[in-house]
Amino acid sequence: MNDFMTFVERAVQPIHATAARKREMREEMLTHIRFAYDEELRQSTDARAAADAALRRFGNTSDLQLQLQASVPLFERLVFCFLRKETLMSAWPWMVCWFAILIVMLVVAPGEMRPALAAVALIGAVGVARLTWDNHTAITRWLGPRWGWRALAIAFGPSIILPALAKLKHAMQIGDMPHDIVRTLVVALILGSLIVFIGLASTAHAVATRRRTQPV
Amino acid sequence: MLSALRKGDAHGFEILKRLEESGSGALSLKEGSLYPALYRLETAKLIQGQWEEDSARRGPRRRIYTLTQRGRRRLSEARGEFQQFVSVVGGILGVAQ
Repeated sequence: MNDFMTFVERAVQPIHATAARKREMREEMLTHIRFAYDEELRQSTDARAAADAALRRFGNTSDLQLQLQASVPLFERLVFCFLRKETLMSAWPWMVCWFAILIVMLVVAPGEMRPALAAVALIGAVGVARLTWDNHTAITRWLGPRWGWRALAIAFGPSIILPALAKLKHAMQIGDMPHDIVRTLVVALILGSLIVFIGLASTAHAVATRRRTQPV
Repeated sequence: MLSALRKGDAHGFEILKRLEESGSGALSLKEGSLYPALYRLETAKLIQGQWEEDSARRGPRRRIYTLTQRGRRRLSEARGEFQQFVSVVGGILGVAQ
């Protein structure tokens, strides 16, 4: 019976649909397979063979999954495609936020800072995108797992350092440097540098570990 | 499937048996593919499914499908179209009707 449940679950679980619809699909198909099993069992005394025959009759789970998905109304399919737990938990919302913040920064920031911000945007986007991919890419093999977080740290640090440096330069040019502003800027510079350092050091450590443990 | 339900309300397994009988064994389909088709027909309101509430019956719950008025009309149209198709193609091929 567990085989039947596993089989049905494999076909139904990935479908984008309401929980109620999926529950009904499960129950109905499970009932069908049980009927088919009983029918097979009348022709054979071997329960295992009867179960296999019942599942064979029902078809292939991946084809069935596609057909079931196609039978779900379009609106429900779209809504549940985006509301899936996995989608919400993945990094895509973060990626959208990342881009939104950077676009605002690019619009607001002075012209000379735009190339640096664009570079930060690119590195950060790659880092966030990495969080949504599998763990077996060539980059992961070289830089170790969770390299996306390190790339984010390396990208995030300059986003603190660069504005602080720009403000410091401006203050020096106009010759007005109040102590509290300088203190804030120094703290920002230290914090940004620390974040970049952690990203770089962690990457260097991952590469060194990789070189020690795996033959090149 | 609509034609199978014209013979009376039935659950998925029963519909399949009716289809197999009608096809005289020549019609062989993967049983799982029946359900997506039933769901599409239900979404199109050509059939209506309802879980049976027969507490006296033992075994798992079954979903019973009924042909709706719209389904009957669609079946009748489809039959007409098919008969026309058969008569046209039969005429071209010289097959006796």
